Amino acid sequence: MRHKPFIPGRRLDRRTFLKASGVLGAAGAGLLPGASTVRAAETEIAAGEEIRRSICDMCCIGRCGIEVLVKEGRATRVQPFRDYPRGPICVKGQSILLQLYHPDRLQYPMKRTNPKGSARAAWQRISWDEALDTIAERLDGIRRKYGAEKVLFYAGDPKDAVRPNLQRLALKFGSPNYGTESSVCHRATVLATSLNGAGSAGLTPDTRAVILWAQNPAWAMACEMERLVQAKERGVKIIDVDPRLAPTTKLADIHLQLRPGTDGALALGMARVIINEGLYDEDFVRDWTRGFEDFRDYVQQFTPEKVETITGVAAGKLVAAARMYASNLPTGWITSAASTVHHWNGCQNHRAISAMTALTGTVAVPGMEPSIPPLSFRDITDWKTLLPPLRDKRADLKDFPVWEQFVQEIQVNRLPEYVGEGTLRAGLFVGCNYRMWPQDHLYSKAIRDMEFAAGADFWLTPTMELMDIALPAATSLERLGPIAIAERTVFLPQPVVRPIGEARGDMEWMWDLAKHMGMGADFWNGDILATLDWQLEPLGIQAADLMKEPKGMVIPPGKPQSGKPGFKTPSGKFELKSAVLEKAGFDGLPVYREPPEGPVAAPQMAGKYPLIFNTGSREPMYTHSRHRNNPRLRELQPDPKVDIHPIDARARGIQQGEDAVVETSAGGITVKANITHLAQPGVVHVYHGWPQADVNTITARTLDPISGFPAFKSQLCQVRKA
Amino acid sequence: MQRGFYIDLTVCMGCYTCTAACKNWNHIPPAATAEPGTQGPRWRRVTTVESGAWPDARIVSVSLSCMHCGKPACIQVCPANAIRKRAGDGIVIVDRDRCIGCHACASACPFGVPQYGEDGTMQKCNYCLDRVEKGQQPACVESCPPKALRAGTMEELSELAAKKAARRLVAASDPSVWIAG
Repeated sequence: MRHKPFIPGRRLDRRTFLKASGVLGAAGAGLLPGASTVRAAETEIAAGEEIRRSICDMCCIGRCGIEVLVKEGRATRVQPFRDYPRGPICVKGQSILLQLYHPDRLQYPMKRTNPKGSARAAWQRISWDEALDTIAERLDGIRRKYGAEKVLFYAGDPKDAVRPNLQRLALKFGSPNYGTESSVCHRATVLATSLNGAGSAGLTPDTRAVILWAQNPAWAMACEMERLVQAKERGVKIIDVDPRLAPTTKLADIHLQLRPGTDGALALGMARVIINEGLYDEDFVRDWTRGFEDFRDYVQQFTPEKVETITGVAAGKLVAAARMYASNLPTGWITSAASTVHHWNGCQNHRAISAMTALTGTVAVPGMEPSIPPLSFRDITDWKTLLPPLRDKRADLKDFPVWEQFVQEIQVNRLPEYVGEGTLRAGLFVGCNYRMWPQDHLYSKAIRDMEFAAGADFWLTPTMELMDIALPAATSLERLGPIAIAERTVFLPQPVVRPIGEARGDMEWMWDLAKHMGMGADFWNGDILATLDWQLEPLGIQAADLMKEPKGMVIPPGKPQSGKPGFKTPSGKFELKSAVLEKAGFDGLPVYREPPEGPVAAPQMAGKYPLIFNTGSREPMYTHSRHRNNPRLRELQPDPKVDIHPIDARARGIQQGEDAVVETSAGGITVKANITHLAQPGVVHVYHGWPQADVNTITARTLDPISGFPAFKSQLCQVRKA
Repeated sequence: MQRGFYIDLTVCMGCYTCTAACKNWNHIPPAATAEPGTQGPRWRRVTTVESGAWPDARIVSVSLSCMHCGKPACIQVCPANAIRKRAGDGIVIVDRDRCIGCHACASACPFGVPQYGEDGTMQKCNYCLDRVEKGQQPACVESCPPKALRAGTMEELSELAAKKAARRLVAASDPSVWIAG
């Protein structure tokens, strides 16, 4: 054949050769991929291709199994790992090799050679030993001078591979100030359901109706779609609550297209229908809830007509949805990780949504029925022992006392204040992206102002530009572990290819750092296999045995266990009225309050900025700020955009694909107009993570007082032709 | 037995996994010389169409590739005899070593399937012959998260189609595609 097959990484090499060396300055020559790492396979036929298995790390949540075809040590293509319970890989996973072999990957440890605050960082390649020695020495210096708690250990989007290991490192170092990107994602929904007492079931084979609240798995978790489609095909009723006409919405029997941030009012309105029509579970409510009478009285004001004026959802639809939800038991309840809590009243709104599971008695009382504990391995963080003695030194103690009681990591969103006040003076950042925070210049300044900062990533990202030391992290295809569990399968991914350059797995370099800090004894002297053996011990298996199982091991379920029935709340009941919140000076009931920068609470502001400004939604091809440099993904959505309804676009004379300026009181960004019915009239959606049109330069820094979460999804803006 | 595709529009989510899986499996490069975001050839393309007005608008995504037509218009116009239809399974394949890059097939194809990469020769879906000959599904079908996309003989697919009142795509070239929804 005349045409040459495309092997990821090869064609790009020449083109980006100069670019890479330009970016990396004088040290560029030392960074270019060695001949052995860019050797390309020359045939497109499967001869000689061997299947190896791993976990995809192209998003933070999927953890899907992936099969990688490897020829002569080089990954050539991928396919779903269909025997693994989690999957299949989505559009991002299908593009993973363009990440693995991207010529801009950070391949060697680097030290900064010019002052922070320079237009671009200048870097010099150093050895791992020098890098880890420097980090150990500088962090120890901070500890001696000011105290160990002045050091922040921070993990961005990466999950299992980074977080538990980093938290152990922090706690053994002596700092309780370990925090993560979950300070803006997921922890607040867990906080809300923990305050109530429990979350609820998603889809089970018995489910007859399911409510999807602010969740669009089609684009956010494609691996969940097949189960949802199958449920639809067996007749499960689907209620979709989403301000958008999202792809998943097409599966819905009822779509409640609410104004962003009014979720609480909608949920309380549905609760009123369920209570007043006698559709609630009287026995459950009597035996297992706290504050029902107060809750019942409070929701009376949320008549369907009033809720229609607040949310924009037609009264008849609300009533129909409430009846459908409460009359098709058992019902499933699927909410997004964070969309409902990206509002100023988000935690209370999410509590109101969760209350419906108690009214219908579909939330299981923990310990009531004997159940089979989920498969798990030993927790490497050891926080239960190590954190309590350090608790008083938590940076977030005074700011977010409710969070502090429930979450074993600090609420990081006041980082600029903590650095400004000297509460935090140095940091170790893994996969951090400062652009995820509202008014993000405050956060980049905070990192820059630290006396010392080191980071690990796949790339020299804008955040890595703020570091003194940069460490090259290995991707999931290049490292051993972490242990993965999906249903009853335990799987230990092994490197499918050799790491690029000197990139190292997160546990590997962190354990090595612990040795450089003189803490080797607490970290199995850097022995990864010994560590994995210790983690796996409760399962009765050893890492070496697990490594011989290319598809993992299925561990049969043990005997069902029962406990003392009761919710983990002060009353032991599901708290429609939260004792913890009352004690902390908040409303015990899940009270609805208007978004402070919304059309109702701030009509004057809405005169100037009449559109509701919703940010942070997922697109199928990107994970937050990642993958804009992945050509296979970038061609699917080349530009930052604003989704705007045809009515709003027409009123502004904006044509499809034109440049448009999105403005708030904080400033403006220029993006492409995408005129679509996905947006409802009066609401626009702007996507995050684009360096050239960074939406978090114009989002307001309004934090939920309970959770500390930013109100990313219910602010105000104007859009005009550029 | 003619092979073909089945696409369920009530389930297709416009997630582009099929597009990327196709490129991954068949080693189709991104547009290598172009700026970030420029499209290279895509053997399988996802198109999203909106209709209606708020609050009853509809957004539908459809994933399409070569239709492996019963009477392929491309074959009839190819001056280089570079395209042929396989006898057993009706899969239409192009021999890129024979192709002279004249674009006649692109003019004849009613669906705009033929595309041209940097070497100027025609390229399109080959039904993942290397997979299908090993009894596997084409990469796009194997990867589809909600299983909106299916492959098989037209007879096998007609059983699936009957359950969802799917219809055959109609054109003079007799495309081998069922569409549900």
